[in-house]
Amino acid sequence: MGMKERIFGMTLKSIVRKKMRSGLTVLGIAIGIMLVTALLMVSTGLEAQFKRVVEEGGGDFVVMDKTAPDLMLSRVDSTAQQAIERMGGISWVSGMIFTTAQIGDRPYVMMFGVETTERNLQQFKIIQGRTLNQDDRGKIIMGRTIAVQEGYQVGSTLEIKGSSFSVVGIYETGASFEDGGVIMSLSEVQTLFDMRNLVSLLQVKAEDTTNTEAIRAEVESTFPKFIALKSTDVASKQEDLQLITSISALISLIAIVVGSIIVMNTMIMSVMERTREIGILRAVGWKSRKVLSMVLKESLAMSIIGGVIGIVIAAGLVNALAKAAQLPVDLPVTADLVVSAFIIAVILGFLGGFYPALRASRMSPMEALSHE
Amino acid sequence: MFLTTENLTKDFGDVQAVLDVNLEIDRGEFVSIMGPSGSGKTTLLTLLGALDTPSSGEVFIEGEPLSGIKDVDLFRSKKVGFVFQFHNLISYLNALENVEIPMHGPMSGTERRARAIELLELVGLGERVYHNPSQLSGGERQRVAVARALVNDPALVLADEPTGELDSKTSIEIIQLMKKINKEKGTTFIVVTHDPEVAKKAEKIIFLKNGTIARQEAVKSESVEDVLALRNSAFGQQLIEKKATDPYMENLGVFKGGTLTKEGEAVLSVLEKAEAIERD
Repeated sequence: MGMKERIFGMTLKSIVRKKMRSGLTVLGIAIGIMLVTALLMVSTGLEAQFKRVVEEGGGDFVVMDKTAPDLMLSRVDSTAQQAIERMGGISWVSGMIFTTAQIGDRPYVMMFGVETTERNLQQFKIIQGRTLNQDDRGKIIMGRTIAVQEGYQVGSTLEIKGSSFSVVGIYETGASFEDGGVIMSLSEVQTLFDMRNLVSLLQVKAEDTTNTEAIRAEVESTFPKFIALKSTDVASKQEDLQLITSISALISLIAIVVGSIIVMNTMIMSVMERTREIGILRAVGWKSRKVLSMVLKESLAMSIIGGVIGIVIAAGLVNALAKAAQLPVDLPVTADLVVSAFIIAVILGFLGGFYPALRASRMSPMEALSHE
Repeated sequence: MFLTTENLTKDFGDVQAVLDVNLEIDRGEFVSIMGPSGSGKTTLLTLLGALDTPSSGEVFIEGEPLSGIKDVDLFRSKKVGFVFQFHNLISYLNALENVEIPMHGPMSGTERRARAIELLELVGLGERVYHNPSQLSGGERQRVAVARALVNDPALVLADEPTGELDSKTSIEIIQLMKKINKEKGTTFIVVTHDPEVAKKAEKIIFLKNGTIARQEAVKSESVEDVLALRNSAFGQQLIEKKATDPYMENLGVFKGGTLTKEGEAVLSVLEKAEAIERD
């Protein structure tokens, strides 16, 4: 509609007119949205990664230490494993260890200790060499990323915690924390890391999936120290993730409040400077509603521009930082995340613009006109 | 009667800005309002244009009371055009966009543009439609304001000191423009001014004092005024006294040998007629 185009044109011209002030406002919003986006990227990226770990083992749920803040710090002992195996209706129970070790110059390489069965290894698609066998000793398979970056190939030997290992295969899963890691048999990890009879978590598969919930409850009541999680609620039970999630929620809230104040300040100044202009618009027949929408559109336009800039910067910056720090994590910019950050930008534009817009629309045309 | 007011009163606290004003203005009239500052000129104008509501009394436009109008904004945009003294245009919009602002109703962008350009041509700015206010002279800016006031074909244009910021030559040009529109379109004009030269271009002058109408007078013909001025000149006086004290009166051909010539008698009769009109 013509009328809308005209208000939109006015909005842009009015913003461009005060380049410095609008620029600083947009910058402030961009920084806020950048922080929010970066934190959302970290929390959603880690959450997705964690879910993948749990889901890919193929179990119906995982059993881990209730008090462990992080997967790597969780300890479950083998007596629990045997006890769960003896419960009715269980198809299989499988232990896994997640830890990190120094390999070459890299201080933190993900190490996965798994029972070397076909079921546990099928997710790691071999692109070179072979997978691990039950009777392999002193052998590992390695993710493609670390192999390429550190120059290892099938047949290479390397030292982990003082022991020598040879690479028998290179795998690729597409998840960077896996492709940047190394897999060895569970028993060798236990020896190497002094974790005899201990695992990080147990994967549990029920014979009949309709019984999963009952078995899960039974495990939790038998072992009060443990928690039994389905993959869908893994993220909400992880203290690390919870912490990151609550920090990002808090920072988002602060960003909304601070951003709204910045927008409000700018728009109040803009409305005051334009008192006479608003008087003219009212005098020539603009309805107060239209004045309200004009001011609101201006603040929304600024917050949306700032929001988009913030999202773009965060997307580039976070991954560049993760790469520079050689962190084996995937922090993708998902559509959900972009939408959330965008919604936050719109909310702060709206919150910041509403009061000045209301004030502008309530000015009597007479008072506005007599203002000089 | 196009516009009437009935005991129109507006007070701001203790201050009576407008007090018991009763006006009658015909459709197509060109009226100016004069008076010292603080006499209520602008307040009266804002009451007539429904920018403000009276404390008591009523304004009727085409017989309809303004207090009965539900959508005052719509009324204003349809019926009334405003021209103000200064900061009259939106600084960051060009002439064309400024004129387009009050347009309403279903119109395509092209139609709006065409209408705005037509009006800018009417006020003599056909060549400057894309100029911003800062690139226009004071007179040109007021022309844009006049074009904007006319955009919805209002029956009434209210102008508050439209020439207040202009030099006298430009002031007369702007007022002539308004008079041209008044004649061509039959639009009623009410112009607040403190400039007697501007006021005299109207058909009627309303003098306000302390918020009330001190007097109203019809403006005399400019030609009659000019003849009266001639009568009061040295030339006129010698004709009336029938005695030439200036030897050049002979050279002008109105005296010959100390007595009035035929031409002299004819001029004298014109002066006497103007005097008679003045007495009526």
